Amino acid sequence: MEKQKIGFFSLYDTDTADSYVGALLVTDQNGIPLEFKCTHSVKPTLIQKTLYGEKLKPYIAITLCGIPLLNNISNKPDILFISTPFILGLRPEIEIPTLLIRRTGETINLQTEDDETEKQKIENESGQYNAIILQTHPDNKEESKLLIGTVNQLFNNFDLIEPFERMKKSIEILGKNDTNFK
Amino acid sequence: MTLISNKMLLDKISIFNKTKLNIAKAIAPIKQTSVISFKQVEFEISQPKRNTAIDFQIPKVKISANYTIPTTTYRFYQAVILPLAKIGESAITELLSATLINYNVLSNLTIPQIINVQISSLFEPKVFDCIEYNKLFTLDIKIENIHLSFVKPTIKGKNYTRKIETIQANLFSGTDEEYNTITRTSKPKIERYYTEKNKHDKFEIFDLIFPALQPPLGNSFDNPISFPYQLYPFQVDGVKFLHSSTTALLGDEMGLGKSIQTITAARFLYREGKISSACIICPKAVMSDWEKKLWDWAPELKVIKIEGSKVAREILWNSQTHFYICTYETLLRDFENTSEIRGLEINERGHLIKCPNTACGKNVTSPYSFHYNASVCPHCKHSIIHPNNGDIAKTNFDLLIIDEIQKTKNPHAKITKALRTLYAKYKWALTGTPLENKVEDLVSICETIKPKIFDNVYIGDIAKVIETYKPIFKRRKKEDVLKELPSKSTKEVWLDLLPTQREKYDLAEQQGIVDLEDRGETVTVQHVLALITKLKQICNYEITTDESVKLEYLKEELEELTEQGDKALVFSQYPNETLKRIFPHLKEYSPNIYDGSLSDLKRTTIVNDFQTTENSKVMLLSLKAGNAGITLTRANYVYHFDLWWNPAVSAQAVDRAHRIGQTKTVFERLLLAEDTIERRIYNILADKRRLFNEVVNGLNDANVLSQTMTEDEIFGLFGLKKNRLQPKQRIENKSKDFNSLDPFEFEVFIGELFSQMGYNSRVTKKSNDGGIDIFAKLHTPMGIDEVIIQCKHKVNPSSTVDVAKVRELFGVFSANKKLTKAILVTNGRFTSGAIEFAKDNRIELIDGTKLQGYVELHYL
Repeated sequence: MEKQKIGFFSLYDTDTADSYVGALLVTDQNGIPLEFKCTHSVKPTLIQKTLYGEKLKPYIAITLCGIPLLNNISNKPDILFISTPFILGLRPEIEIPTLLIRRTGETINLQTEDDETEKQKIENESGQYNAIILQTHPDNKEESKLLIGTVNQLFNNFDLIEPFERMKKSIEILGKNDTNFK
Repeated sequence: MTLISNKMLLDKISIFNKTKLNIAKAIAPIKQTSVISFKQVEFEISQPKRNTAIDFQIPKVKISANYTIPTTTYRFYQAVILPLAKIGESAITELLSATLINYNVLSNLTIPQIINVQISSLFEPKVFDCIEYNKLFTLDIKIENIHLSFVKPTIKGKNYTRKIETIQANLFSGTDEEYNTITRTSKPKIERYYTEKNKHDKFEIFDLIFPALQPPLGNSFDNPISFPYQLYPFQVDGVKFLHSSTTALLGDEMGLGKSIQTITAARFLYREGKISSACIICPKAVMSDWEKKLWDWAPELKVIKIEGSKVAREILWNSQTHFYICTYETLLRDFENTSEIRGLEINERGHLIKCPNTACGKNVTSPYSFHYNASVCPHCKHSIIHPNNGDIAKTNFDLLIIDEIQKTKNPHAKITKALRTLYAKYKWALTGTPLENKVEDLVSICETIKPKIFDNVYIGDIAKVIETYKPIFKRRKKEDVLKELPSKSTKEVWLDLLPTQREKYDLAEQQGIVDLEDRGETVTVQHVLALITKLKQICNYEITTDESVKLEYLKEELEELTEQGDKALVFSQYPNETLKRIFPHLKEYSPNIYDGSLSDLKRTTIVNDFQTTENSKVMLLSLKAGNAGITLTRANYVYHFDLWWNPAVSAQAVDRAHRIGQTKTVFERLLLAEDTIERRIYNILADKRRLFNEVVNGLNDANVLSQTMTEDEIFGLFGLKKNRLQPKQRIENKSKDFNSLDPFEFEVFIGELFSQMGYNSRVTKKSNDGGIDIFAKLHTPMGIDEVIIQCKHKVNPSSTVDVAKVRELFGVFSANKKLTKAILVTNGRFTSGAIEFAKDNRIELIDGTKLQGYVELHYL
């Protein structure tokens, strides 16, 4: 498989949802990390939480974290994976093909405006990992079909859900060592 | 909290406060009032207009004997009370949250609904303690604007790819490749130079998380990860044992790779994000060896050695890193005061200690922290600074590795207390000593890594003790895993010079370089080699202070290997400067020295004694004497005190043990001093070994070094450049036709020839020369060659020199133990008898043909 740069972006919050950290990991086609960027924690006030309501997390994820991280990273990803549906709103703001990725069997709670997004199921050929489901932004319905070959190859190299766990652990370690990430 | 619309209460507000309320109403229309009651205390504030907020302060109110609500600012917004100040005390927080009506419920109600909440009865507010009723209404009403925009967060991170230059790339492709330290195996194999530059790469917080960002490792190591060498199956078992144990005692015999297994298991934990800090406590002699092993086996993990002055150590303890390496002595120095507190119980949150306030004396959990970070006794508010009295050590790690833990078997020793006071999620201990023979030692060691393990176990019941420690103990002997081991295992051990050794070394090097520079054009390779010899001898043993880090390391090794019934050989090219110096320090092992000064009988006796009895545990051999012809298979540990330029020479040395008759794996250890000439030479030769096949096999010529390294490289070891010497002028009235010379002229000619070959030569007097015509000295990497030369000039070049002349020379040679070689030179030929005799007795013969070759080589 030719060299690829794969991006993983997610928004992590504390248990009490007092603060949020946006993180972007770029790996090669084998899942080896090339670059990692994250934001200092965003701590919305109670009033901000109340007034922004449901829009709070998408706003933080997309406007405050996602776009700046992607502008800042040196190794621009060729494809971007996200793990939460509300971050799909990032797609119209960037040029990078973006796919929502979940394990099959997870409860789907899309909260997107358009429930008729294209979903593609990808199996791991070796059976090492459970199958995953890809989903696109409603305005880019064809993207998952176009990228299915690439995603298939990647999924045979490594588990595409697993990097989000690495990022979560890394954010926890950062939080323990630097209060800016708590 | 109860919200009431209570007109009755309004009547009780003082005129002054009513005025304030009216002013406030004029600024922000207030439609109705609300009363918020905190259990027994009630405050009246004005109901604000929607989308505005009112700040008000509750004055300090004593709720009960134990709790006082401090002065706190609250914001009232749309029927919601939002505490702006953090209360702090958990009890008060609970109090407030218990009294506040769920504001989520409130926020969903419209204001008229809130106002219309009915209560069962109206009653006058009850006031307790000394709060005056009117004071409840001295509220300062403010109107504020609320800012809703977010501040853009700062972005941080790291690019983990690096450009590299490889020898292969430069030679054959000229392209740079990007690589990531984890995936060396997926790229062309690249040696990383352990240089000063690499060692001190700046460590950032994103280096800390680098291991956790790697792909997970499968149990069969099937994900891309680099290992310098393949692990043996028994080592894989060891790694799995450690990885799955929060408490473990690994007791494999020496040489089976305990350190490597430990490092690999730790690497797993880092990769899984289970640990983010680790500390290795070890003897001083092996500190650098650990550092080097971590460099080889876990290149992505950053290492800090805790050493230097107290100020320097404090900085190091405060620095972020993956691994701290600390000696037992340093730990004691930096943690003694805290660990002196007896009866410490440790848990995840900290130490359980008695409050230092004698009036209190209650048990307190004092959290782990660095120095000067005080905690407070919740009972009496006394400040507790932990660790105590200026201790500077970090005390809380995710992983603690205790190397050579048998040194802390005394449970009452200070160091044992210090170790037991450190907190770590994972505690692993390493030892090569067969502890099963000493139950009480084993019990103490197990208590260090797992406190109270033997509670409720009677120590006299051996079976019960074994049953108790078995789950945390793993030991393999060489005989258990022999089939998996190679017959010979070679390893370089890099050591840091001891303080005075370092001082002397640096001084000698600086002075030596100045001397070389002062020589100008007359400097030769021999001068450089002489300096190298001097520096290497200091690396081995510093004679003014008797300091030797190699000796310290050797003693650590000998202690362990002799306990397990093994023996060792120690080679050095400097019998007088090294072997004789270290000899007295090894007396407990009954050493013998095997060098050229021994008679044949003595040599035979020593060898037999070593092979067949248990008297002597270690033999010290000079390379020249002990390099060939003797069998020492009773030993299976071989230590080289100095680096051999010619690998064939060191191979010959280790072959004294590694040969037919050997029943065990032979462990060869090359002891090298870091940050010295030994490191620089090692790096250059390592490059050459990579690029070329070994070309020096069989070379035993004195100039073997210059055939392994170029002159420029030799001079470059000290940052010097060799100026080309002006060609020596032909010796006037002397020609290459040495056949025409008279005997004395022939001697002078030969003397000059040997000077050209790099010797310092001196021609003796014409008569009464004691059978020696020329004395010559040559500085080689193997030491100083002291040579005697006898010249036999023949008028007729076809004439022969017979065995009698060779015997004569041998007689002179063997009478002087300092000599390394004897040379007999003739312009004629040698008889076969002479040749045969010379071969067996270390005499070199140079006949006319050979002489002609030397002359053509060394003269213009």
